[in-house]
Amino acid sequence: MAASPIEVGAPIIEATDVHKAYQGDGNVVQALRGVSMTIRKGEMVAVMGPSGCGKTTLLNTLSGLDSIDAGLIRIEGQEIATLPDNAKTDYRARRMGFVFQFYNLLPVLSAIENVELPLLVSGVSPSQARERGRAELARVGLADWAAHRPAQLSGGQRQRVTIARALVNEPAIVWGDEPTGDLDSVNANEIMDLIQELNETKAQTFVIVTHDQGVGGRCHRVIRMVDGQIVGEDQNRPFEPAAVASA
Amino acid sequence: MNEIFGLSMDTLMVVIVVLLALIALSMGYLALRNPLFFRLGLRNIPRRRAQTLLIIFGLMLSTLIVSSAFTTGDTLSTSLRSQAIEITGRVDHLVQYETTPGRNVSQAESVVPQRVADDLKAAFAGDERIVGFIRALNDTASMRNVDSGQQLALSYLLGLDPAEADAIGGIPGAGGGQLSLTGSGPDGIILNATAAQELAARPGHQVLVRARGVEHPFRVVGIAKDTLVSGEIDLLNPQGGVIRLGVAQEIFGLPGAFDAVGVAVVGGETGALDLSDEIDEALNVFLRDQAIAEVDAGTPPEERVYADRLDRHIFESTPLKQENVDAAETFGSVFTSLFLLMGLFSIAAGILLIFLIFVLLAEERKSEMGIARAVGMRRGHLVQAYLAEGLAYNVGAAAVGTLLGIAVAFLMVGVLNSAFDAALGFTFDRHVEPRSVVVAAGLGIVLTFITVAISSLRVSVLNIVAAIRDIPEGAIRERRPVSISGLVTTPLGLALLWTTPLTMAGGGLLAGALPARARERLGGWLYTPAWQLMRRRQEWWLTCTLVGAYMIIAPSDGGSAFVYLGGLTLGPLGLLLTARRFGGARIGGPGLPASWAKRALLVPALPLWAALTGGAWLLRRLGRRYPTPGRTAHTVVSAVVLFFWFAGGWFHEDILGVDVEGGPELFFLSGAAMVTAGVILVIVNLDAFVLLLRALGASIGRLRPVVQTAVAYPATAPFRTGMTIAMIAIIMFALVTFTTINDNFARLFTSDTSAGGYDLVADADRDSGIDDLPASLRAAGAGDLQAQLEGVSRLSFGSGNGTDIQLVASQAFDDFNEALVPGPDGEPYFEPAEDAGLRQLFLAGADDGFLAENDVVLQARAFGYASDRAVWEALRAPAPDGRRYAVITATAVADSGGFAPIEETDFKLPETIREFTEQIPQVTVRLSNSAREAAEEVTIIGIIDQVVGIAAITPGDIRPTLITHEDVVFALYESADTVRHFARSAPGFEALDTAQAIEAALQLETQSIKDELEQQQDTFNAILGLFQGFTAMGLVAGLAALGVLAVRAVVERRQQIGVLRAIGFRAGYVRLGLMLEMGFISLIGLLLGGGLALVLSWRLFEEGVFGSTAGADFYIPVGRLLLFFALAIVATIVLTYLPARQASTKTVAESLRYE
Repeated sequence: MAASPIEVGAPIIEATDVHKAYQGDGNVVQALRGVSMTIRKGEMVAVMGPSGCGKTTLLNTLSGLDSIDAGLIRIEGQEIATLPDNAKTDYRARRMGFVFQFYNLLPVLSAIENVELPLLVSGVSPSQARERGRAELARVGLADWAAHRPAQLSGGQRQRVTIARALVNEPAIVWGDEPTGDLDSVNANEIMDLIQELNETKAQTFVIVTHDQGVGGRCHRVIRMVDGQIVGEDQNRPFEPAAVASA
Repeated sequence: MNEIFGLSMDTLMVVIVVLLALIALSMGYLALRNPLFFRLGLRNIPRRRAQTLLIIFGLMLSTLIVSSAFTTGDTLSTSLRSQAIEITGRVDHLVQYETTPGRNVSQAESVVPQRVADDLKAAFAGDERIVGFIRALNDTASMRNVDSGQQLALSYLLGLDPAEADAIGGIPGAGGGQLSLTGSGPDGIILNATAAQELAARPGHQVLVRARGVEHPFRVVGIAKDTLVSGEIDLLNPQGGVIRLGVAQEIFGLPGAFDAVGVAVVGGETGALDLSDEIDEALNVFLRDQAIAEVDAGTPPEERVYADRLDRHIFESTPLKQENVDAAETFGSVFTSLFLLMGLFSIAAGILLIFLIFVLLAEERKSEMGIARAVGMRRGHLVQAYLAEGLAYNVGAAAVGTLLGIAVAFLMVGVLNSAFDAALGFTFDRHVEPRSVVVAAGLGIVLTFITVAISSLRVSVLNIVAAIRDIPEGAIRERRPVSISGLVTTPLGLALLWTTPLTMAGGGLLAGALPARARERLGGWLYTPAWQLMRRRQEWWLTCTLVGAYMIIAPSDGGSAFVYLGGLTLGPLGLLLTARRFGGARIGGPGLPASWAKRALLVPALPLWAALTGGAWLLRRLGRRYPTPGRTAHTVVSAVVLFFWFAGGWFHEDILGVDVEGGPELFFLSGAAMVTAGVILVIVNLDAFVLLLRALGASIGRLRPVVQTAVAYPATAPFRTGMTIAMIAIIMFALVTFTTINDNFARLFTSDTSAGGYDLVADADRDSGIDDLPASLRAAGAGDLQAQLEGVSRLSFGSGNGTDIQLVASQAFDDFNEALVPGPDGEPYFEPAEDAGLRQLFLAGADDGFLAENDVVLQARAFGYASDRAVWEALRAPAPDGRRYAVITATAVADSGGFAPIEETDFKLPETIREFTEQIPQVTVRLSNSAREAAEEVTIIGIIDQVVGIAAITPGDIRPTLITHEDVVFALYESADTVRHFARSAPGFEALDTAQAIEAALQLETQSIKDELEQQQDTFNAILGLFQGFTAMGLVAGLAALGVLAVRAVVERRQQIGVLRAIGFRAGYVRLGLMLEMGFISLIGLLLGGGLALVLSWRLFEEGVFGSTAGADFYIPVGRLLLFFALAIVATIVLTYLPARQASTKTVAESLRYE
């Protein structure tokens, strides 16, 4: 799927009446019940709500990691749910980045090797991938830690590597699932500073699932969910596309 | 089958049943005492059904191997036993002329006179145990059926007295009932079934029997079963016929004489075996008493019947049936032992698989085990739970393994049958003894129980915090100080481990008498004190090092190579343990600080260390830094162990001065030791392979990250990767060594060199009257066949019984057995032999044609002879002192391994001449024939090659044979017992066609040497193929381990797979990655096992350990090895595809959710 050029401030993620249910042990759990929402390019949005309200499911379905039962999801104007698996995967490799709570780095690879992985699967040459990977690690402040494996890094450093990995292919959208959930407050603040800076300088869209009010408070907007439904929104600070675009 | 490895099967069964009872009792006791832990173990079984199946599969492998080996042994023993009993029929004992040094006479002279038969009959007339005596005269003859036109170049003609034959039950008919010659005239002949089939003969047909150049007409009066009394004298050539004794004596020119007196004992075909010993004793006592009486009576030697001129008894009784039955038992037992020896590799792989499975099980349950320990479960309780679980798998696996083993054996018997049927016309009836089933199943259970017990002990050692948090053990484990008491208790416990079954039983009894509190306090010490002692404060490093050092120095000259080489393996590994204990050289540990242990280890390996350091520097220069703690110590030790195994005689014998001897058990030890060392070497240096593969991955674009992750994972789990590599490598090692060595010798054996420069060979015995082949062809009206032949020549064998020989003198060798010692005249000094006794060998005389034209290869020549041809030329003329020269077969060399002389009375060369001596001293011997009081001295100047030379001269014969000029033979014997004719095919003619034409013209069995050797090799190959298939079964264990690893990887890495999919790995990449990873492990195992095997095979071949190689180049059977590799890789793909597919088809979100 070719990425369509979308201007900053234009809708980049559109969900309409999305339904998703899980079946397990004879029970059917309605994880999403008719979720509709729009996120604009360059916007930084938090999804919050109690445990089990469907936040992660929403993130997974919007990013194409999981299927939906009904509804419509458009990313950069393209309907993502109907794409074949390989096309969806290639699209993720080129246009999306992911930051998870438990970092989910590959323990057998060094920091630089973890970061360059999305580039390599997108067909970027090894030398270019290494160069861009180093640059991205430098941007998150880990230039000297490139050869270290995840086990040799602290929690905060690991999450920085994860962010570098998420951003290395310059994605249009970065998805974060509790990106600070496993960090202490100092590290959590540093990570959020970094995310906010990247959002402002690169006009990348961030969708962050979180329990942390502090994290939510640093986003432009907070979407609140309960029982698989969106029950409200808070605009923390104004989203000014022109400012982001010029940055 | 009654014995295995020299152990009685009955004893083995009793021991195993006792061990089973002890296991059952101890487990029953534990179940009653702590039912909760027992239930805990059992309830784990249904948790993962696929895994349970895999575990049972792994556990059953040992039982399967043992069961199939035993069943094959039972089948062979039972079939051969029945055949031996059927063939010997009612002839239970034979009284014959005993040939021995000092009494080696020609076959015509080694007969039994009528008086002996008469005396025997008279002496045992009232003995109710003896049914009757039967005199027999036997020799070879050719036969032609006048009615059908079919002929037999070689058959056996047996003369029996009809009345005596009838008295012991007659001659068993082919269609049932008994046949007799009583009613037939002197021209009556009973053919056995094989002869009748080959001659297309029926009763009433006329058969012309040719013996001693004369044809005698006979009429077929009946067709008998193939048995001894119908002329089945030779199992390989069973065709024969029986005629009246008087007629046979007339034909063979031996009036009143016979070869043997058969004795029939009461009890029928099988019952006589019970009386075998006592009848044999009675007969021999009688024969010896007669000899003593003759000597005591002062009977002059020329008038004696029972005693020779040296006052020794001449005739001897042998328990024919018992010997044949024993031989059948031995054959079955040897075959089973060989299968078990090859099966050891599979059993080892199976044990590793069990160990791996339990370690993976423990890893899977790590956090729950941690919690269980946290809430109060002791380590022993965890062991009990695992033992209960293991025993449940074990019993199921033993049952399945035993039955599958029987099925596999029956399949193998089918393969054997096709090989034996083609070569010998004989097939085996499938059979399994209940005792073998009990032993196989019991052995499987005991072996597996021990493995499970050791695995359980290993996995129960865990750090509770690390287990609960699911973090690596090493991250928390602390180093404990060296325990002085542990240095004593560890080896002491190990030495007393054998008492465990006894102490378990004793502990059970004592437990009842002790108060509960005392029982509680004693704990495991009550039941397993040796085990507790050994495990108390483990200090293995010193034990291994000291035991290894002792094993190296303990064997004296001619001692056990197994002990010595075992020490050379254990000693360095002990040093490695020392380095790990003090230097922290644990793989994945904190690194190797400079300690005395490390330094001591490094001193002898500085060059290697320099190479490694250089390699590390190079890696750094290339910008590659991979942490590999403990690399140096592990690399050095494993390389040193490999060096010890690869180093040949130049190191062990010439430098270390070690002289040890080993048998087939070294094959397994070499595999186990080399694979262990190889795996350590590979695992600590896996990053080098990873670099290589990553470099390859760089050129395949988008697949690079797939390769990158696939090769990275194995390096991060050294234990499980190493175990799996070991399983595959050890089986590949066995397969490749076996195949390579066999193929090299098969090539040698069937090469042109083996034929000695000839294409055709024909054996003519004394009775055929053919001692001049061209003349005989002309006389038979087939003179034109001469045009098809070139270089016709012959070897005349003086006596088919052997010739007396005595060592006279030999040139003196220096202390190093390398140079001759000169005498006072400056010439090589001949040292007279002291107390050289009379020995025997076969003597062959070559005509000038043979000496001038043969290309028979020599493995050693006397000093001064530049080539094999020079030696053969020297045999043509007498030496200046009038003596003739001679060469001898390698079977006369005292230490010629498997080809060594087998009889105590066989001639052996002086011990200064060794298997690998290429230049030998001249040896003078005296040959004599006591019957004619003739003697000749000859000087041995060459040794015929034991592989390619012997094949040409004495195919299939492993007794020593001396070849000299035929003048010597005819000076000792009036005529030759056998003449072996040789010839080459003239250009344009096929050897096989010419052989058939000669056979038709002369009724003389004639063979194409090459075709005959190839045919022998084909049969041999079929049997070897069976061994290969049997060994390859073990590969299944290694491949199953890959399946287990793949399943485990999918479970462990589910989240990581989710991340990979999220960041852009296609499903196919995930699948490919996992399969590549397993393929990578498989490939390393295959290359390691195959590589070690090829290097070892090359070394063994070049050193001639299995026999001389006559300068042939080492050959690598590339095609077959590639086939093994391809099959293993395909199996890897098949086994890992399903888990890989499972991993790739999970939805990304589902994978990410997994914890």
